[in-house]
Amino acid sequence: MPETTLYKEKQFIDQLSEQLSQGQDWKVETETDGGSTDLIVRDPHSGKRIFIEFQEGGQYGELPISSILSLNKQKSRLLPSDLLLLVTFSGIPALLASKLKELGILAFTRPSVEEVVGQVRYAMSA
Amino acid sequence: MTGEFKIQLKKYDQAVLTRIFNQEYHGKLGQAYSQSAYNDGKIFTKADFCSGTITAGSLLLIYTLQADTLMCYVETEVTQDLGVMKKAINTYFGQVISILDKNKIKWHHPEATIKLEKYPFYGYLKTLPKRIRAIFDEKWEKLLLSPIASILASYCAIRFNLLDKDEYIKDVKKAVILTIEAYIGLTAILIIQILFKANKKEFTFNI
Repeated sequence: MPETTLYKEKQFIDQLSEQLSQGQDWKVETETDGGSTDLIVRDPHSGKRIFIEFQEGGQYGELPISSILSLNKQKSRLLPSDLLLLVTFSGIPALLASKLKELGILAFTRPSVEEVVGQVRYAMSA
Repeated sequence: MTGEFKIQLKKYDQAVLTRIFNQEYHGKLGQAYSQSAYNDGKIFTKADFCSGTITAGSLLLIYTLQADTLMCYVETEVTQDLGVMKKAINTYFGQVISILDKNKIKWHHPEATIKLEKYPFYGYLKTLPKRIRAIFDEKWEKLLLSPIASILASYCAIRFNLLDKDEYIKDVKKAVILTIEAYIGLTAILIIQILFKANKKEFTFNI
């Protein structure tokens, strides 16, 4: 993965984590697995959880369609009340985008921190 | 570990592609699909692919056309060996482009990726201009700097009375001969590379 993307992703995660923790009663956890990071946002009152997964396509420019395999695996481990968000700074091919929609995974391509925070707020209040 | 390669096509007719690939792969799509990670039908059904094949240790599934792009999914039995995946991608890529070439379907801009957990590895085709550039990148110092440095050193030596004029002329001659030899050598390397490697169409992965 190019260093710039990694830096951008790390910076994004740090800012997102900070904004999600501010002024809310949510618990924000960072899950690091083999160098990759995901965020888990929990509302202790409702018990609702939102998983934010970060994936990159690197120089290929877009996520490979088979990314759906790991996302589906992760989704199947979640409770029906949980929500899985995918954040990427690469493109998402149309076929993958349609499959993500079918699985109920919300995908964001090159979003701003505010956009993701807004979606988390909306999902938590729903 | 899974891999993917994509090729853009100049002519894209799904019916034609399905026919030519199934002809070459003898309708092995069902077998390949049933052995793949998609086999539970929850994400992709067999109908999402136009063709496929399976060999010992690896399989290929060709997705139905995505606009003008042919996308191919590669899966290997061995899950942690990048070398096996690289070999499988290049084998299937070779087969796919030879089928396209045989049927006079022009293709361009091939790219490949290997996804190991969350980290993607990018694969690109080393075209002739890229090869020539790489050779020049490796040799330019020798070609340009060595003779210049040699002449400069001789000139400095004569200025500070370390060499006489005859010796200086000899040194310059030597530098010119060395330069000519280096250029002849480079030309020979280029010809060999063009003759033997330029037509080798396989992905090089940045790992």
